[in-house]
Amino acid sequence: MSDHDPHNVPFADPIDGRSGLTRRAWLARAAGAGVGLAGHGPLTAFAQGAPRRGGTLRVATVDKPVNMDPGYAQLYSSLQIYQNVYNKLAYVDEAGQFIPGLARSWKQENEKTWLFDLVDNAVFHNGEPFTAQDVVFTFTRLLDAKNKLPMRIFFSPVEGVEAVGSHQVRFHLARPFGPLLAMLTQATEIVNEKALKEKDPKLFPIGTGPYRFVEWVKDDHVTLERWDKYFRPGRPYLDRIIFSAPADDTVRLTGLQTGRFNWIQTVPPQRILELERGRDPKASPGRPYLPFFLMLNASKPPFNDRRLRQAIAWTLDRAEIVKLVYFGSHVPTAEPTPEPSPWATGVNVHKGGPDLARARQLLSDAGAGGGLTLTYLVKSQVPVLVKTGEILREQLKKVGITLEVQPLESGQYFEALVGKKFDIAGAWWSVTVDPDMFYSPLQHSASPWNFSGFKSEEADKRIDAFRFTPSPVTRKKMYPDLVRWFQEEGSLIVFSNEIQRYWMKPNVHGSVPLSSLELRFEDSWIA
Amino acid sequence: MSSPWIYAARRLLLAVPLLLGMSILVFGLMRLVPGDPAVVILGYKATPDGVRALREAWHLDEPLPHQYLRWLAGLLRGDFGLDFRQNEPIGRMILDRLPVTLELTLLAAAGTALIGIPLGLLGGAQRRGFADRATFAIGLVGVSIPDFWLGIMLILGLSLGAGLLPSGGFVPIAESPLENLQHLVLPALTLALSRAAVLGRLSRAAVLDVAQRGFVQFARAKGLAEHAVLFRHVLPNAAIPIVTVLGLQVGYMLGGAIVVEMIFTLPGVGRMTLDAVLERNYPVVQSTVLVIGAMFMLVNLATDILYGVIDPRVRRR
Repeated sequence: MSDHDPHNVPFADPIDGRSGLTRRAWLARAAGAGVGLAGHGPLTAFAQGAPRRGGTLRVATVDKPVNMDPGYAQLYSSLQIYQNVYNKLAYVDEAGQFIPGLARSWKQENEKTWLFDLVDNAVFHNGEPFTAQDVVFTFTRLLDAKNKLPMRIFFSPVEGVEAVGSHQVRFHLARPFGPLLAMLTQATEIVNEKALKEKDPKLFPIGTGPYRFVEWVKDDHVTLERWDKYFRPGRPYLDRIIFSAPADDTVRLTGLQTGRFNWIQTVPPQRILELERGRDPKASPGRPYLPFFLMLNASKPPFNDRRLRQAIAWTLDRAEIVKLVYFGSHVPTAEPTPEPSPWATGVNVHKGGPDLARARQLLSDAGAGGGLTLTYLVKSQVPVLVKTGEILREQLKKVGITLEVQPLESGQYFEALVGKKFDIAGAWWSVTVDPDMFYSPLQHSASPWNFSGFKSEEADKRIDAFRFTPSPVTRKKMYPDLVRWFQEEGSLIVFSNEIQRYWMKPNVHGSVPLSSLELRFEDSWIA
Repeated sequence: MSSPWIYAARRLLLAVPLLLGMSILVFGLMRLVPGDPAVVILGYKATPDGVRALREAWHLDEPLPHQYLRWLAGLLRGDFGLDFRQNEPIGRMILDRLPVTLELTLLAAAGTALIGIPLGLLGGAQRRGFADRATFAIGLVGVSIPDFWLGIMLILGLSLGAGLLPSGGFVPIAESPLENLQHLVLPALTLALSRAAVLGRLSRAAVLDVAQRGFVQFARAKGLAEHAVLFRHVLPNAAIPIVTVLGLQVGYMLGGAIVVEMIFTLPGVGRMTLDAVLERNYPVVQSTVLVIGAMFMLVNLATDILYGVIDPRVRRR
């Protein structure tokens, strides 16, 4: 879900036992093809030769930006651009490990305080040197309820940030907070107070990032240029990046083929096999970083009954959906963070499904043996989720459930979703660097994003325990049980994960999908 | 004041109630469309508090007549209001995008006339001959092809295949007139082809109608060459319906180039309006519809004035 539109990022084969290709086999094959899934180092696995300085990367993304102020994190299409203008304290690398950003290093002093050492050579694009005060200002602004910044809710356990020295900050937490680093990699671009006062940050982003903002011609393009005072020596390589957002998949691909663009975010899924056979364009490695799932409205009958939620889960044929709708650009999975995520568990309590006999029994036990009529809510602008509903309709028919697919355009869709006027909704969620970012917002009873209306004290207890455990090792041990519990009790059924994969000219290097879904171009270069 | 000026002033005065009616209509229609702008703009971040705060900030919690009068009062001061999404002045947003749409429309109108009128003349001059049948076939195909398909085919053929023209994007004329033209050829052609087919059919009918009149027969009987008959006697007399249709086409293109602007990623008014409709960005939709409506009226007025230039009898009436 999130505002990022689920474009159909390509991959050739569905990963499923019945398709003859296991997830492990897929990983092995991908690695054999030079995909480098296990790489822990910088973004070199996919690059060829020595990086070269210069050139313009003409990028075509799926949607246009709307707001460059990171405090709002409004639309993925905006983030894709301004994440190259700002820096965060920390980042995730290809392997999902935390790596330094504006924070050179960090240590957890005790359960409730973290100390971050900051780089001392970063400069904002307005000439202001980066100091600890900028970090304090960024978080004070974010946490101040008066500012009404939507990202605040993600940092609710953070009490405040204190400058210890000119380049050192201490985070004070109200309680131990396991996903703190993950949160810092997701949405905490460091802003400068003076810059914010000088120019409207919604329109003129000013950060310390590898590229400085040059111009934004609305509905046309955004231009960024290399920031020569960037704190990482030798980076970035590119002179300039021009972001455009053609609305149509075919137009984007044609633009890449004609040379109008040299990097595009997606191609039509049905073109993947053909494109893979050629050299130009080439594809980046593919990574399943965007979970797709069904939301069952547990706030009212029939899905306030756990048995009926389970009946749907046992009827669902994930492999069929991926094959018929996504042309293999998704992997079938039952968990939000499948391999190669460091959080992958392999847990699937519905393994061996679909099991129609079991589903019928559950329906009968819940008093719905005579059949059910349900609605499937979906945004009409996301045709793949509409098709998912159509396949689901056929699958549910086998156990006597009639599904009415209701494609609504954005306005009506959000009203129905927020008003919980649906039985099942097709959705996706783009924040999975740490699984807490999936379960807390979507399944905790106190979350405003709990659109499925699932309320359970046990669920809250389990989510909180996972969230507020500081030790990463302990959290890793707890996680499979959390996944299992939500598969059995929760109101979300994860059915696939979209493979993120970018397409580019053969001379473009250093671009790989990240679990944070950032388009980080500081390591990209053109041969 | 000479009569054409009085006529123009009267038409402009008549436009005021029309625009007022249009403003009520578009305001009302937008409110009838399901979907709360606050919920749409906030998307998945739509919490009840957030929605309430936005509705208050945008005065959507006020009664509808108050909202309308507030907007109208702003219009009278020349203030179109602020865009819901980016808080930008809508007047500036329209001014930024209007040149793109106007340029595209003018080029497409020129293309429509250059293709459509000769097609009609050719067909009308050789009724039931090969040229007429060919014109009919071309017209039928042109009318039947949707813009989105034609646009993509032109990109595939002339841009990807032949590498002659860019597949999209926009370069302002002030930056580079040549590149500006190169970027607008394909979108203008896409818009022009189907409209030229309509104009061709109509021009043919107008030419046929005039060609049967006595003065044309007389000109032929005098021994005038066929091209002289056609260009000196037939075309000027068939011009009024042709200009009428061309004027209407220009009006439609001003607001109806949405698909073409989307395919060729042109930052024009059509694309902005469509996005605003999808986002329930009320003030943007209301303002752009009103501006497009006003321009449509101006084009119609210009067309009417042009009648007098083409045919002096109209001036005398």
